Amino acid sequence: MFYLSRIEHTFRVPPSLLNLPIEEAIKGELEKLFLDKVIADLGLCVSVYDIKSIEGGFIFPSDGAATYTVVFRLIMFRPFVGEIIAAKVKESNATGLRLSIGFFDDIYIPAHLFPKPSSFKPDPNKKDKGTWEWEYDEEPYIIDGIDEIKFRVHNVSYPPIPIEQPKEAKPFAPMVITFLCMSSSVSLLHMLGPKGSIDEDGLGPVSWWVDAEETKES
Amino acid sequence: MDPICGKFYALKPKSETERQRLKERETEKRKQRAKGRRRLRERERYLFSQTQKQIDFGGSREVFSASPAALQGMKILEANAGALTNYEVVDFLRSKGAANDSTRVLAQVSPSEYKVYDYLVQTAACNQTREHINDFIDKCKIYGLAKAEVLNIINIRPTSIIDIYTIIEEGETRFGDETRFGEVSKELAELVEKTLPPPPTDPESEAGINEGKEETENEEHNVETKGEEQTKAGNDDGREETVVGELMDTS
Repeated sequence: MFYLSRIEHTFRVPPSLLNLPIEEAIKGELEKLFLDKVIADLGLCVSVYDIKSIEGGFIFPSDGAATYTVVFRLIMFRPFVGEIIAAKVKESNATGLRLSIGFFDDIYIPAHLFPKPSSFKPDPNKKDKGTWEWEYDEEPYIIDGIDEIKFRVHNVSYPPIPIEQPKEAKPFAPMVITFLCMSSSVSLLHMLGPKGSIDEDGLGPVSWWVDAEETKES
Repeated sequence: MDPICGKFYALKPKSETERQRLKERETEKRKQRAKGRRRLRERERYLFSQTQKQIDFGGSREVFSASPAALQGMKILEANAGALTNYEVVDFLRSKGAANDSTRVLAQVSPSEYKVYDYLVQTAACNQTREHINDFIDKCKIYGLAKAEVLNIINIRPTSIIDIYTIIEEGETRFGDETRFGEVSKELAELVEKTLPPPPTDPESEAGINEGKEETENEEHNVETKGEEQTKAGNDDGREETVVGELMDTS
């Protein structure tokens, strides 16, 4: 989920920070510049891990601030394809599910990546929202917002910044992760091992699998 | 007067090499000027479009390249300088001063870092230590798992066969056949249970974790408090011999 990335950056440190020791001033500036921001193809920057080297300190003419060339490492949040993450449901509508892990909210499961067969039951009260259900063995399993759900990362994309945006568009998300709710291959309906049986990948709400195993054992 | 740039040169006769050098310098300068003008034009266009339309980020995330001045001068030396387990990130944030209690305002940890810390503290990474992780890595070398799979297992701490099944790709082909793979997953689940500490018992995730505990053999009588974790440690010692025995048998 988290990677270290080594970056070199040349930037100016404002003269108001001249009284601080140089590492603190540079760390503060780096955090202001990078923290909680998305860098294309690198991910979301979580934290400044350490500073490897500081060079420069030249003051350019007609400028009051010193310019430094710093090599440092950042902790980036960038899940790899195939990684499994536990997340909470934030929103559920006809196009799919939207999840959040506290610090990152733009996680989507589009409708075609749900386990088959699944259906969407629209909520009578609200127009767009509703609940998704999975029918297995003629029993509906509901994705409610209560427990955490395990997902496998399907794709991570960094859409380019739009120069123009129509007024009705969704808020822009610089980094979008799409998840697979469950493996859709039906061939996983096997009996594995002498004691237990595994029906499909153990993805989806935790309570689905725990209930299933309990009924098998009893 | 020189026809190229309109300057007056001294009337002293120039040698060939000098003239060549002067010409090269002139073309260099012209190229630099053209490059500067092009960059200025691009920058102006970008800034102009920014001011004309408001880009609505919906308050979710700022994109780094908001100002071209900040972007310039940034070079990515190594995009992937190493993968970090969740435990390492929690450890780093803790060493910076993150904690669960009310000392939040004093620590130098920013609110966005706190969100990450809050999320990670609910996962299995919260109680792990470096020794646990090294222990687990040594013990699971015999299975020949890929680095990503080991990372997934450490981060998620799967305790049931199903969870391990999701993590390992193409387990059936790698371990021979289905029954063999089933045994391997069971061994791995027990190894995880033994070496990595359990996640914290939240009131929210209690239901999930405790039902997970009920699946494993000795803990059907567990109820949800911290005292149970100590009895679990006691149970673990009893089980250790049987697990080691199993490993010896299959090796």
